[in-house]
Amino acid sequence: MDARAVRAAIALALATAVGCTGAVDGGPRGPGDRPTDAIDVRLATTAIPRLSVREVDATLEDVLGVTGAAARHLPPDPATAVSPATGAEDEIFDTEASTKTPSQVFVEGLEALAFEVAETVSADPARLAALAPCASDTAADPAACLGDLASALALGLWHRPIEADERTAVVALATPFVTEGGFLLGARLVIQSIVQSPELAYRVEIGTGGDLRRLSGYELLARVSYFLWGSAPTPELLGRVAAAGGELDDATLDSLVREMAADPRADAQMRLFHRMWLRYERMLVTDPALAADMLAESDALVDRALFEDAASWDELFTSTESFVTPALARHYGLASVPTEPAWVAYDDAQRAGLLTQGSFMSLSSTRMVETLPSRRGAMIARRILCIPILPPPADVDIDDGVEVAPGACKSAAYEAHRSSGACSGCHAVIDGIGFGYERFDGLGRYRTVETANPSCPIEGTGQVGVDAFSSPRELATIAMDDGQVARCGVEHVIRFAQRARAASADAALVDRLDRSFEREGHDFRSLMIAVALDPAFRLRREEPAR
Amino acid sequence: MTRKRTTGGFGRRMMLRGALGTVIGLPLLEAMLNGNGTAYACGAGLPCRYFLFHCPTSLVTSGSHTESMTPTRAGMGYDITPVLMPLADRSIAADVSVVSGLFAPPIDAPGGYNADYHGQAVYAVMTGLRSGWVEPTWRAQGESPDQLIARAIGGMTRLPSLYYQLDSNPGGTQICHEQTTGFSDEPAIVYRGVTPQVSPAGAYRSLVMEYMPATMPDPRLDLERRLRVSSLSYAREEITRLQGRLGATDRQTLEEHLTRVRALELRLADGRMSSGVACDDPMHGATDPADLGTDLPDQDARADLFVDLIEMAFACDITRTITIGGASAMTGAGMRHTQWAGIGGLHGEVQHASDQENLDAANRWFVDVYARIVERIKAIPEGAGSALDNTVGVFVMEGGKGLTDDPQRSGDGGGDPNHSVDNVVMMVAGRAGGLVSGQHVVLTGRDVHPTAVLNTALRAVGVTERLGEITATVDELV
Repeated sequence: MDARAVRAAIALALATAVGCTGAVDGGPRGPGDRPTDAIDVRLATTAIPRLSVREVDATLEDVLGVTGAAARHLPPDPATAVSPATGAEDEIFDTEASTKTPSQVFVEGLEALAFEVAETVSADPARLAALAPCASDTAADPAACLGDLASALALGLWHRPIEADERTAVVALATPFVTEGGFLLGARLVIQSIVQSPELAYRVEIGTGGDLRRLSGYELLARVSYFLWGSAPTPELLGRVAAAGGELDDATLDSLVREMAADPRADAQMRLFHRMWLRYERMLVTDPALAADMLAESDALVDRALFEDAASWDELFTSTESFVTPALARHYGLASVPTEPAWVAYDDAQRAGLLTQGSFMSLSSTRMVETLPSRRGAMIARRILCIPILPPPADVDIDDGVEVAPGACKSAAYEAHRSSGACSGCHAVIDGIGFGYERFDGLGRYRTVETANPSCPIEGTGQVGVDAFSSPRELATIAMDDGQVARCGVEHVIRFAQRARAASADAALVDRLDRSFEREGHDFRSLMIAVALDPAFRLRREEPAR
Repeated sequence: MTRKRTTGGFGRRMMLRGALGTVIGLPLLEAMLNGNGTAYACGAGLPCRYFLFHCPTSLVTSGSHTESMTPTRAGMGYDITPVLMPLADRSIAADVSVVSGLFAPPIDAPGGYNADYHGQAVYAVMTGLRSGWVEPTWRAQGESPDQLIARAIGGMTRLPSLYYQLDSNPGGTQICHEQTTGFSDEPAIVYRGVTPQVSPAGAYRSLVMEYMPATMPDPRLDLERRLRVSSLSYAREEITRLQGRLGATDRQTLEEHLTRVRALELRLADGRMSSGVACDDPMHGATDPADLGTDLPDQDARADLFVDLIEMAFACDITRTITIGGASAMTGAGMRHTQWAGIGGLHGEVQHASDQENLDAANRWFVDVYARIVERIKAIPEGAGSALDNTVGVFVMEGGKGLTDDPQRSGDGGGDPNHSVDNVVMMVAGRAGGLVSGQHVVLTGRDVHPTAVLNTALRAVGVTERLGEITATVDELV
């Protein structure tokens, strides 16, 4: 175990020792789990992960040119989910499979979606012809042409060739409609049927083998495509799999993944991942103009960290400058106020990266600007450092934070709370982090005294694991040096890719990818490629039977 | 508080517009009338209806012990408090009874909830079963009333039950819970939250899906219906085919999907609304209102549409059981409205703020939505009176107010007045099953569980089952 892994393990062990952390994400994690290079897929996953609404819409747009139909018809994907095991309400990616049940609302929505898509596409000659050149009201052999249309649709939407009997069945259903209303009516039925079939909404991964199943070439391509692009593979890519007899050898997969990772769709997916991981777009800022400026600020930093050659992914957390409008610079009280939106260097030694931006800081605030240090500490511990903080005991109400008597100092009230037996363990961990950010209010403004009681100075120091820190910038440096942030980013990418919350159950995979990320100088695109090319990405563990 | 209507509700004009613009009388089912043309009592021919409105708040904010909802006068003709003002504004106070002083215990007792009010309390109230005492704790332990009622009378209508949610944000703890088979890592039988319909447009499409005018068949609609049935049959075959290649858990997921596809196919194949009378589009092609900002839905416009839909569903006898939540419990929470100050949503910013007036404003808004539903049902003529004569409509709040530091009454650590299921206020509208409306029933100090009111609602629509462990009813309501 290298030095930084030891340090991270110590931090986790300390947190565990005080009874605050645990197997929140699916299994214990500690030195005993580290690292092995064996291909070990421990996490069982469904063979029919359901696409998110975003992914269904992207698929329909790419394959059929229809926009927004899924958002109109399907129930939204939850942004959070309550863990039945702990009661903790976790923030989740929209790819999370366990929240997607086939409710009546979903099934009816899918039916309505198929109806709308079929009506739209069947009335658009150009779209039809793009799918099947023969597809028009003058088709010489309507039945054969409907079959061709079904094949094209299935390849695009199901990511596999249609079976002969599937094709025959849908043409048989459509034929009476051709007789009744012409070819286009039959085409409408075919489109509606293919869209409504389970293999659009559920991406099927049957694979071959026993409990540990190896995905077919088509299944693997689709898995890669939805991970890197958030959408279906193109007909050209599917054609390459077909040419290889439905399988993907290592060389072909390597080439496909690198090609797809260089596509602009991968850029969009990387941006989206960071928005979902860091949650900054869900900021709690009521002023629309201020919120827009903050969103642009955070997006600009993500773009710089991901895509600018001279920048590094680490700058997401360590950057000492920010992209601000004049209004946002004034809001933050920066000494340098640009005349138009621009990158401005911080004039203090406190701010660092996205974690001190107003968008992120607002996520742990209440009543506009007042902070909740424990909530903020827990948020940073869970989301940025991947320290699994257990939810509070059932009889503790955390909504209001620690009660601060009129005239008292917040820091003293929290100190007293930490000293009281049962509360001390957890608060020592989360307050240690949260109070290090206390000099930033809920809108990211720097302050040196408590908002509610200006006679109380804010020390602005904190503790993470064995390390004390005197500013968010120092914490960022410590956590980046320790590798905790990078490892946590890797873990979240795996959750996003595996569509599950329990990435830490596959500790060997996390280790492998963490080392790869470090080797590549924290180049995020390389990390995405490494995930897609990892041997574990070609496998799926079958869920145990009851 | 009154609000301008943004859509043309059809309850007031007592007419439904036919598909071709023809105005057709409201579905007055012949079967509902006796030989003299007057109505049978509910349960003797006329349809009994049930709706439940869930308000995701309690009565007081953090630290407050003063609220503005509970009337001070008991008995008939209660006083209208500021939060209840919509009942007077809409002239329905005489149609609504208020029940106050209800109590769910935060102890291991029938209908009790384990100390954390969030989620656990709503499970206990909606199922009548103690919640949070056995693993897994974060799950309802039984069915909600809509499931019992749908089982008893749902077969008489096209849709057994409906569950809507005003707030568009999904996630969190649901209000309705259905029995289903557990997955591989779960108990054999589990009670899972039903997914609410948060899209008015989606809800609308579901209601009119099989619409087909009986007296003037529309070839276009008939063609669309047949396309849908054929397409569903293909989906059904594909699901069955796929099931054979999957493990047990995934097979079960698809079985649930398949069951719903079959039900949809049957609805469409029949092709006619159960009333046999045209019930046309009251919203002229509903679309979801645009959000007013990030995470800020247009709650007023959404509520308007859902109220229209509930009226339509009852008037056209599409269903007789409707639940509508303000938001999911617990993270009902994130619900935001321009009228409520604060950025963190209903729970964090309103419920937990120190400004009681702000919470009162939010609660008054929820009462107004409930009052609008009652008003619309009252405007539907039925038999010799109105549909409200055969309806029970319950208003349930997530919590009450803890007036004591005794943790066995206040719950949630004790002493926090806003996270307590003590001194709960509920409302019961309508006269189904002989309910006596217009009174204030005070139950303070009698430890009557809120589920007793739901049991009373079950009896009102002829369901003899009880919810969970709670056997009591509120006899004063009948």
